[in-house]
Amino acid sequence: MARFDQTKLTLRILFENVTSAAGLLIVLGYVLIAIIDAVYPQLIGVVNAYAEVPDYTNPVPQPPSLQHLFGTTYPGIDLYQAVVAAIRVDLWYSFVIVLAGALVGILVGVVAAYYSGFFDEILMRITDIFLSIPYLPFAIAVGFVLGRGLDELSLALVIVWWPLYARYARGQALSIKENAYVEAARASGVGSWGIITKHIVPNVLTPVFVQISLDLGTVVQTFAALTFIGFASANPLLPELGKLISDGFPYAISAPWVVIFPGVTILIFAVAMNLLGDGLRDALDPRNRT
Amino acid sequence: MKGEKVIGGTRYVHAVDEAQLTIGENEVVGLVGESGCGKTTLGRLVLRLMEPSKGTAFFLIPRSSIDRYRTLTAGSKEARTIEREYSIYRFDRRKMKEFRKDTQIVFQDPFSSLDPHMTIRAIVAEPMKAHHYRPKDEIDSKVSKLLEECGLGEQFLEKLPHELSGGQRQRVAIARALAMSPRLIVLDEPTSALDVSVQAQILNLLKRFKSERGLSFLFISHHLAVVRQMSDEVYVMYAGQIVEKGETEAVFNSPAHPYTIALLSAIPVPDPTTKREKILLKGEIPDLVRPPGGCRFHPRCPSALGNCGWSPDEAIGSLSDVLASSGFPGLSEALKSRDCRIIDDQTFEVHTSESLDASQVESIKRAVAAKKDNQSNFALRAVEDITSQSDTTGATIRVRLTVPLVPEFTGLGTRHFVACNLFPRGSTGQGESNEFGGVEPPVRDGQH
Amino acid sequence: MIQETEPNHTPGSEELLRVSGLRISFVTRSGVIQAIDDVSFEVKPGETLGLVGETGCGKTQTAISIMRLTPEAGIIEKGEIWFRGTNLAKNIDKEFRIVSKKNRKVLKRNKAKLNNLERELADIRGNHISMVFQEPMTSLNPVRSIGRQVSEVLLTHDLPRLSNRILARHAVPPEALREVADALAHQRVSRENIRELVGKYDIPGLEEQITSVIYRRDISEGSKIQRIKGLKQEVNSASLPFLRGVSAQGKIPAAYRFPARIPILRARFLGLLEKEALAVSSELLSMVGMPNISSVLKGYPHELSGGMRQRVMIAMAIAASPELIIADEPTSALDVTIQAQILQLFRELKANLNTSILFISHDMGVIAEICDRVGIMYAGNLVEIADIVDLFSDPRHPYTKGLLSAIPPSDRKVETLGLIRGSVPNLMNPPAGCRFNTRCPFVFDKCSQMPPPIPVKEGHYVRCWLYEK
Repeated sequence: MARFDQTKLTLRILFENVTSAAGLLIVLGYVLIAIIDAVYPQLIGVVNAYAEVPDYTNPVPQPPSLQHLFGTTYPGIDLYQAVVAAIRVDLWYSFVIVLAGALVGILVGVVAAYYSGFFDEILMRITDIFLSIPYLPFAIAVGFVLGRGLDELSLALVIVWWPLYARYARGQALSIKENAYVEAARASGVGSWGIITKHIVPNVLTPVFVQISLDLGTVVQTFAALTFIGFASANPLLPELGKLISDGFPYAISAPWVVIFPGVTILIFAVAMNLLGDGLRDALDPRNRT
Repeated sequence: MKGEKVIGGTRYVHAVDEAQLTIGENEVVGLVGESGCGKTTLGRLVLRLMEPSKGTAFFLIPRSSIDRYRTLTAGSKEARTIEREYSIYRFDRRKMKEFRKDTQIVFQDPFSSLDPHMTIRAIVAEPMKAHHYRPKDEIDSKVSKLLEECGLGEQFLEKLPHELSGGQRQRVAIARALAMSPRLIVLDEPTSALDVSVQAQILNLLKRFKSERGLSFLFISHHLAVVRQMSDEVYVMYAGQIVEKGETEAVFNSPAHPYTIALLSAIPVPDPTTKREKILLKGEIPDLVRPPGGCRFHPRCPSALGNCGWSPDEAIGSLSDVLASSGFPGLSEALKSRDCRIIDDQTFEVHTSESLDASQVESIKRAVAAKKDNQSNFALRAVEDITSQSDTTGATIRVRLTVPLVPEFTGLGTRHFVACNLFPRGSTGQGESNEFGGVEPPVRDGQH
Repeated sequence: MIQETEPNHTPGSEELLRVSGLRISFVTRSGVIQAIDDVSFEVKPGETLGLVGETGCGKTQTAISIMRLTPEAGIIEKGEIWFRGTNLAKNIDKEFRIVSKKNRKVLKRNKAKLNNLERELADIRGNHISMVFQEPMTSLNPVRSIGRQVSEVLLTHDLPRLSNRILARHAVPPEALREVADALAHQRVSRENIRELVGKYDIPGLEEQITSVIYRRDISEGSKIQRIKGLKQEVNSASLPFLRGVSAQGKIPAAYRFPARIPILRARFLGLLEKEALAVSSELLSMVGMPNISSVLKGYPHELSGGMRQRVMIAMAIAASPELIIADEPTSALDVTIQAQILQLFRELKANLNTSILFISHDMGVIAEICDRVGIMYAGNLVEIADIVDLFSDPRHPYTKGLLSAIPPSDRKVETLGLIRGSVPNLMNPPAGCRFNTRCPFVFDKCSQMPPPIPVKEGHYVRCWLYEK
């Protein structure tokens, strides 16, 4: 089928470029770890995927060794297991945040572009208002009002994230709207909703897809930053990368591995996601596809 | 109908002005003109893909109703009843849906007229799905049949648009247009983006469909030779106005409007031995935000008359040149630097500190009369009278121009009409506009 | 063996441009497109050669390969491009080659050689060969004024012309100018008269300037006489050595390279040349029939209509007096009445300038109006070439005949238009032999080999086995 060939072509172009291939592989690696951790954690040596396992007999952070690949952090938690489990948690929340933000944003943007006029103005002003909200104080405020759980944190981030997609999707939709095939659909009797769902949204998705992949890297960092400053799950032992860093922070000087491993994990993911996003943008550029 | 496009809410592009068009059953009407003449806008208005500022369009209206409508006063109760029944701009949703089934459009650009994400099969099936074609399982076979009739085999069904050539894409667009068996198809420059040999294939295809299926076409193109081949009747547009209309052969063989004549002479002929006298028009196609008054062609017309729509602005330039060369440099300078007063659409004044006696005014008039045969000074033909008034400060010259006459259609033959002041109403002794006199076409549908 | 210089040809021989055996391919992800195969033709000085064909026939690629402007993915595999005695394609085997990588072909470039090529060609492009493109909006820089863009051509390629003009105005005795002006006012003017007068009063440097004043269409007779009298212009003594240096060396002398650009001193040096370039630009715009020249020079491309922009492009193309102008579909984006104006302009330029033109178009009508000879291209081959009258009255190649019959006539109505059945072949896998053999109504077994150009008449060649002697 022709559409499948398109995907194969995209992958082929991605692999031609070393950095984007590396990015893709690393990201896939993370996703694989997250999936295995959810389904069969023992396979990668995780005893309990939903909680850090403290060892009160030996609470002092230990350097990396054969028993504890990443060492341990206070109080005696095996860092390797914690990090691997945390990857799953972070990835899950980040994906949900970005996808939810994209969904809301695309809907708002496309509808605003299609109907234009006064309606468009109003929607865009609302978008502007949301866009001007700085995420950090807003997240803190939300935490104050609604509670500092991870779900509330996600909600705060979605609220701050969707306007970007609304803007972007609206721009794409405005230019797609001018294409002759949209007019042809109207002349064929397709209604407004049909045009939006069948013609505009699918053609908007391709460039937005690139934006999503770039954003995932950013969101993971933001999420970790906010959990670092104090957002936490109801389950106090739920491993999460930002939380790991903040837990290990007091010991950072004497036992640097407690912050290095979780930190580097975030960093690698963000960089890989960025490389993948760039590579995807180049791969999807129609000029490179002949 | 009058169509306007709003830019920024404060300025209007007068895209189409007082256009009247009739398309009969199983008839191809050609709409010809250069870029910016409004033919694309008119095509969109005909299908209600745009809303007009003024006017109506009737679809499938019986001859009797149209005749009756023309006798009624605008806005009367009976007129409005007829409009509600037949005017596409008053159609409710149900009627609109029917209208969309009966009409279709094929665009110029075969690249952007097909959704790049949809397969060919889905593209052709789209109108059928939108109109809830029954029985559903026959949609696929109908799509295959349509594509085959357009010269595309089974292997194209699952392809995406970018895998096809321009000509093939245009065939898909035509197949899509035929899907619900419409009665009228608007073709907006359907072959302008195609090679000559591919164009020939597509045009032959269209001709075949027209005769086999009894279709009507509104064929919009800037390519005169193509329009001649395809159309039964042709409308020539310039800057938003229809300047000449009629049976294709009549218009092409005996063009009357100076624009039509120039347009026809400008077509490059693939024969190096013909030495045709080309009429080269000066100037550019006008900006439609502030179009020229009267007949919009008058600034470029090689045969313009005084009443064709000259404005004080246009006359001032020419008058200034005449004054300079006939010994009135002061007045000339004043006019050139616009140091004059425009009183209304027909009159303007200029002041000089010297005094002017009657003989001097006479010599100005003589100079004007002498120079007005040079095409760059045609505006002088509009000068009706020049008077002068003297007082202590000097003399004031007042120039009055002829009131412009917007040309109306006059008949030139059985089915040939032109809107040009060279052919004033009633001068040819033929019929007036609004009817195609002589042999009447079996018009059951009309778009007014 | 690739020739570097022509063995038996001296510069200034009959042909201005000779393309022989040109073969151009494009390396893409999905394969190698053999876009142009074995194309050969010549252009004589002062001649207008048309290249006609449909989409994908390779006419544009052929034309831009002459200036070595082939896009990144393209490679000239074989062939020679002779221009003014040099083969512009002499190093193609060192500049790039196609290698097989896994089962795909990839293009390898030799950066050093290509940079050398660019340096060599910088002298030719815009100067000896110039181009007029189809889409004037994208070929003009939207953020620079028209005056600056046209001046740039002159400042890059023709500095001595500018300095010579200034120096000539400085050196001319004013009485000579008065006498010339009076002489011209009283007799009918032609280029020969001007040349005579210039010779008589010994002011050769002013010939061009006097001629361009006389031929301007936008000023009155009285103004012209005034302008000629006013051609005397003294030059500041500090600037004289600079100008003389430019005239002698053909570029800005090394000593002035830096000072000429310092803001305060600039007016004395570079500024003089820039002003002169602007004056020449004004003359060029007058030559191409532009109205309102002074405001156009200050304005920007987006303020002009399509026809006017195309005139600017043409002005830029003729600015450095090239020997060859390559015009790629210059009127295809214009309306019919504007196209007629531009074609008239081309005719005038042909008559006045003696430049050769390589005119590419898909419109046989336009070709018939402008060209002296025409070549028909199909799928990367040049299938027929002949004098213009000959081609239209006696086309031989089956494709040419099909093409001519497919053109809708504008003088009568016909039942059906002539057809060529089938469609253009995929050039990744072109048919063996004559590339038209998949569609030709007269195909026979020999067509699986590519026919050579067979002469059927004086100057008329066809690549078709039907005409084998």
